[in-house]
Amino acid sequence: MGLAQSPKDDLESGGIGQRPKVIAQTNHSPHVTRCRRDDERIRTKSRLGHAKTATDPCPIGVHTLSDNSRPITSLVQIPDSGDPFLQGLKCKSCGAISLKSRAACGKCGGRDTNEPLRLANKGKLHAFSIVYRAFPGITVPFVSAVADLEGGGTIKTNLIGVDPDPEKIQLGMDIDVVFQVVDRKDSEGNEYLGYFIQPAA
Amino acid sequence: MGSEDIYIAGIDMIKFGKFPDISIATLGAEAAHLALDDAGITINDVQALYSGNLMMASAMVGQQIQKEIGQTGIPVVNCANACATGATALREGWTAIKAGLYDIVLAVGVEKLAGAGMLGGGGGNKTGISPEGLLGSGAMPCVFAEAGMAHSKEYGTSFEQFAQIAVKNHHHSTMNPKARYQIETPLEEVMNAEMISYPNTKLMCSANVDGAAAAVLMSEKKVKELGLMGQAVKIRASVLTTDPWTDRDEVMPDINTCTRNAAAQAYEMAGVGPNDLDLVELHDCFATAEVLHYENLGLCADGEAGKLIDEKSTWLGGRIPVNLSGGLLSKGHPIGATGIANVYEVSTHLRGGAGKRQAEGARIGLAHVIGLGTCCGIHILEGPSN
Repeated sequence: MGLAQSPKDDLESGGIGQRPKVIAQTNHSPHVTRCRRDDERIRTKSRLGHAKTATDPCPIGVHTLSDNSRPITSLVQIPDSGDPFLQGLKCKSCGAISLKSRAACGKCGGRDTNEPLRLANKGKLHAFSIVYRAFPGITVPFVSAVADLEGGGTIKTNLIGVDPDPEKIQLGMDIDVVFQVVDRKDSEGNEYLGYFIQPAA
Repeated sequence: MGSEDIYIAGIDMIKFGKFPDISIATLGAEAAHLALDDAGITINDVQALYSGNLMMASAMVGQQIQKEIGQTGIPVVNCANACATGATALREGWTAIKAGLYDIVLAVGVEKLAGAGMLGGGGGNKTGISPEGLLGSGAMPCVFAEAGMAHSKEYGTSFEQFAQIAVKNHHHSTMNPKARYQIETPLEEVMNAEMISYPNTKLMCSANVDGAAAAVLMSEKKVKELGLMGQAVKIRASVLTTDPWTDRDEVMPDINTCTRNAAAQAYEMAGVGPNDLDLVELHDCFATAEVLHYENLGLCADGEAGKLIDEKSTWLGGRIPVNLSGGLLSKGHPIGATGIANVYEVSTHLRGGAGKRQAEGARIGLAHVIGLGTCCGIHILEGPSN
């Protein structure tokens, strides 16, 4: 059986299904970044101090942050002045750092022990995967990544600013957290501020 | 807890595949009948039924099966526990016999998963937008790829080593007539298959299939009474764990710690160690996952999984053969059935009936599943002494 004809072509495999084929179709080589906006300059308001200002190899989609940008998750804090930041929780009893509110501390079960903790904008890359097959409407490839932040807290998001090529992504490398308005709106047209990681400047 | 041992007196599975015209109840009933026949009993002898199914967890699948095989009015418990669903159903039955409630129970695992598509990551925030593809991916191929890459970071595990897992498991499946696929996939074919989520290519992802498996569990007293000791497989350990708090667990489901905890408990309960095992069926939902579980289950020291792969120690004929059934990669992964089907595979070897893929002289084996969310089920089994 030749390489072009996968023995599982009739499959469903992988947790993988029939539908994603559509989005995986591309005229580009798998290692060439696909990005609708790769000819655009990233435009951000000055308060996004950490956002890149150069052409990004794969800006997830960047618009001007408007006054009604919403945080993509509760992790993102958008202060009235100053830069956005990530805010997790730290248990004052056992020291565990978590990303979202719980009824009690996940580590020690302590109640009312979690206090807000501003997470660092720097860290190290712990793991990644380059996603080529995704659900309909999601641009591929992209790099899904996990990073340990300085001082505690682990986040997962897209790694940007690198080619989606395993040879060019170093596990353990220093990363920066950056904030960008994402290219996806809700049904009411609201825009969202996301957080991403990129190789440290 | 009762001290009496509990046995698998009968066990079987249907050939996994794609059965669009057959109902889930019929698939489950078919496996149930095979297991009852293997034990030489009827539904009238069964005192309770434990059913495992995930995707139709609200549909009373156990009762649907019961209506196919005989409505005797016995208790039916429907179990859902992600990919550990089948193991959970089996263990619930074990627990009930251990508690002294029953002497004979039936555990059935069934799933219709053919064509289900990529699982996980499809959801999103209750309000706002889905973060999938923005805040990384929650799709299973990616989640398990990242788990594998964390191992690479620590020990330098290579794409090729991960790919060798798929080569091995597809090879083993060529000797298993009940596997969904029986096709050799050489290394270059695995590595050049469609990349789904690096480093997992399509051939390194489990196959979504329809399937069912069932087991008859009996107390030692009943096994002896029915004269089934010559075929009964002793359950030396039955363990279920969840993921304890770990620092990265919120963004990176920890499949390692719950497996390590379950393995430690299971080895202690069984009074054996990893070196006593003659074969292992472990949860190779993705090729990357199998590598981690070599170390999690203590089949080798931490950091030596790559060496185990390079030396082919987990192939048929190797020091500790793993996934002789073809594993989830090629036998297929009908979620609710998986945790009983892997017990079937181990039991079949312990009974000396595995044909060309037989682990020679197998006496003790381990079956392992992981359900994301997260839980781990482990059974350690001992074959009949004759």
